[in-house]
Amino acid sequence: MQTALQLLLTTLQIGAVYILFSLGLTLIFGIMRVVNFVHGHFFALSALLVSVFMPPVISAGFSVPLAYVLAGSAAIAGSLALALAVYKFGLSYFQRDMEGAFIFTMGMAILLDGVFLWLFGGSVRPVPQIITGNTSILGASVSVQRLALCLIAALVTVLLYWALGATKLGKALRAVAADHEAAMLQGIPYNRIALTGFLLAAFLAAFAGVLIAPVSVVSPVMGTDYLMKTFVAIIVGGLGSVRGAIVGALFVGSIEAVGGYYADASTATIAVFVLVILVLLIRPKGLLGHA
Amino acid sequence: MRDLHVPWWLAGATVAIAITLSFKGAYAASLMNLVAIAALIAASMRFVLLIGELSFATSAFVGLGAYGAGIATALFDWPFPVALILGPLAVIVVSALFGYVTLRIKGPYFMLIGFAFTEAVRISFTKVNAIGGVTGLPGIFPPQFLDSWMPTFVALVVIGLLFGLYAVEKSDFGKTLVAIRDNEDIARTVGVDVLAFKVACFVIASFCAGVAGSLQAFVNNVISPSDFGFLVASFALAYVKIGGESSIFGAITGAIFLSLLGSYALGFGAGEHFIYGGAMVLAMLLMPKGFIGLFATLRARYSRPAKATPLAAKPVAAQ
Amino acid sequence: MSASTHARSDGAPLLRAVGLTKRFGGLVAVSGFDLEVRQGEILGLIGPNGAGKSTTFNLISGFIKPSAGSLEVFGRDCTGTSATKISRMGLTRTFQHGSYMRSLTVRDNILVGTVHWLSGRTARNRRVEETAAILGLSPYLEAIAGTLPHGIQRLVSIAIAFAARPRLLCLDEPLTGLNQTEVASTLDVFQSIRRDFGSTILLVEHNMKAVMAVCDRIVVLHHGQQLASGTPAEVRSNPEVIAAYLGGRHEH
Repeated sequence: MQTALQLLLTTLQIGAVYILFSLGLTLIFGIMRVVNFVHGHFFALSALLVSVFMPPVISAGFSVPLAYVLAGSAAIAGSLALALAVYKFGLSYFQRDMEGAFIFTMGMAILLDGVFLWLFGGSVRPVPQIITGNTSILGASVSVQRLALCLIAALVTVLLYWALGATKLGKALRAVAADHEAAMLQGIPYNRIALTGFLLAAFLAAFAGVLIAPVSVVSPVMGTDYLMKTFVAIIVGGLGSVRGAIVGALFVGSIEAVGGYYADASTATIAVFVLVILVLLIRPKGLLGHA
Repeated sequence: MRDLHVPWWLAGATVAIAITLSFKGAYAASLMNLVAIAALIAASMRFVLLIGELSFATSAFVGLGAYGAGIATALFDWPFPVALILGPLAVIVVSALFGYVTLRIKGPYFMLIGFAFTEAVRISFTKVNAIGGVTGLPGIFPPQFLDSWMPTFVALVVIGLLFGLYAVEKSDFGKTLVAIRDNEDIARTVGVDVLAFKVACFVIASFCAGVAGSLQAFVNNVISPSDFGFLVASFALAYVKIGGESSIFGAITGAIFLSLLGSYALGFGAGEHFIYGGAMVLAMLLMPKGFIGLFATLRARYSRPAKATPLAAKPVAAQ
Repeated sequence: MSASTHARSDGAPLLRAVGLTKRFGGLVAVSGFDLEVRQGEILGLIGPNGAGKSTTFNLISGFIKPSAGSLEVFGRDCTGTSATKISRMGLTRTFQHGSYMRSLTVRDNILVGTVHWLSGRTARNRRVEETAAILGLSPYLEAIAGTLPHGIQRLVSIAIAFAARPRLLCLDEPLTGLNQTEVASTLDVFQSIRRDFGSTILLVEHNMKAVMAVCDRIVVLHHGQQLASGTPAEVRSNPEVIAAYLGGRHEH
């Protein structure tokens, strides 16, 4: 029981970040029908900027939590600027062209790898803990910081889910994702929606980067590994489906948690991939996918 | 017989062989081998595009081909011809099974299955100590007499297979593959066994990838699992797209251009990313139809200014 | 191929569907539909939009499985049989939209129709050229199908299905978008296919004038069920059919 609880908590922690990532990626796929290789870089840049901005802000006399909030805001702004540039100067030309977007964003990813390495150097950058200490839930121990991460991620997910259903923008996003031609016929401005969707997705990735900076290893290449697993998550869940993204992220997170506990990380990864193949053979459009 | 432009192929082969014979030295040799193997992998990737699918399992088959050669040579000391063909033969079996099961699925979902397969295979390689695990398998040497002729040998094998892929594409079988990509239901209603054709296409392409891997093992003399990750297929796709998807010569051109560029960029340390990534980004923005498309556009513009030449319809990317 | 190759001496129907039903979730597209196609006839299947014509086509050609009912093709039970198997028995069909391969030449399009049935370049080429000649496509053989005018594309789609020399050729709205001359010549083609090759033709069409002119029998589909069947004259004067579909409307 203890183990199960611990595993559940680990799943939620890992899954929390994957969820924020996958929501963004699946939105982009749903709306633009492309796979975005650069998504990991919005995430990485955000974490990197947090690690860069926090020390000077703390030295200037601000408290650690406040410094975190300030640095985090700047980091998200920075990532959004990058996202806007990527969209305007390239990705908008490859909408609905899966192969072209794939190669373009892959080239962009390699380019940005170079830029990040040059700007931030190759080594790992530490970020100070924001909330210290551990707590225990029903006997399972977890660091308060990680717990806060989970809760915030859950909150954002719920908010997003609600917004997609209730707000005008949300409904427009979903309409475009479901049938973009019909949406355009209804007068929904496709280009503006695509840009909004893209920036929203980038925001989620950047936010995830800010959340994860204090609890994980921050390096210029951290995005790619998350990106790979997130692709798995959104396809297993069903491309373009918000619920699918959540299910897929938890699916991947749980396999990693269980695999990592009973074996090692690389075995867990093999397990993820084998299970993905099996899931897709049984449900070819993903667990919750639509056409 | 549909015109296979055999004289042009022979001329091209002669030029390639001449190049391999004229430039001596380790650096030149490794460059020529790199380009040849890249062209073969790119052509393999493109062959699967004939049925409209992106095959990310290609990396795994390159790896299987390489490890077949490695196991046969470094571990068992089997004769060269056996070692060369062992991996590719295994690839035929594995790809037939894999294709039979997974080719019922399409588009991004098929792409992901291939990707997952590649990563699972790669990680599995790292876990087998007998073949060197993470550090890899060294000691894969071609026979003595071939040692200084490797670029020529590699060029001959690669050109042979490239011509084979070209001939198959031009045959009725190849036309049927394209028909399946364009409109699989029509093919089905006239009696074509769509899955069988897709699997056959996949096996042919994967076999070529396996041979590329085998050659790579003998050329580099040491292989490791990290050589066979998803980037192999990703770069191959880049070669195809940047060279031009509409013909095998696009894949070849793209492979030559980008692998030469990549080698050049390696000398720049961190600049490697800028050059390689920048080239891909610029190529996609400025030449959406690749070099072949650019060439065709220029030719249409400058040869017949008054008459509108109907360009062949570009195959629409599968959604 | 002469007519005798396809003639059945026992007079049994080529296709018999009994009680064919298809449900898509809550929607019943076809409900207890009976259809019989007899050797050597040109049968028209008509009905308003949404009546279930395309679904019926998909059911009898094996592209979808029926929720209930039975299907017998060339005397063999084919309920739930796959499209590939049914086509290999000798039933080919076209689709309502884009029933051809855009990026291939007309020649290669028709070639695909021959691949399963003939081997060797010579035999296939001969079949392609013969088929193209019958449909008036000879001047267009080397053109890319996607670049051709709509009417020619429609002929290409018929050519592909016919290149397989089927016993039963099922055409889904083959005359849409054709002008009057093209319609007339296409109807002649149907007649010669039947006469010279012994193929039976099942036709879904909206062009009433053409249907009345060329079909031996007509079946009227309405709300997924058979409303009437008979000769053109009978159907044309059937009061229920007139009320549901033809009544008061200008025949076009």
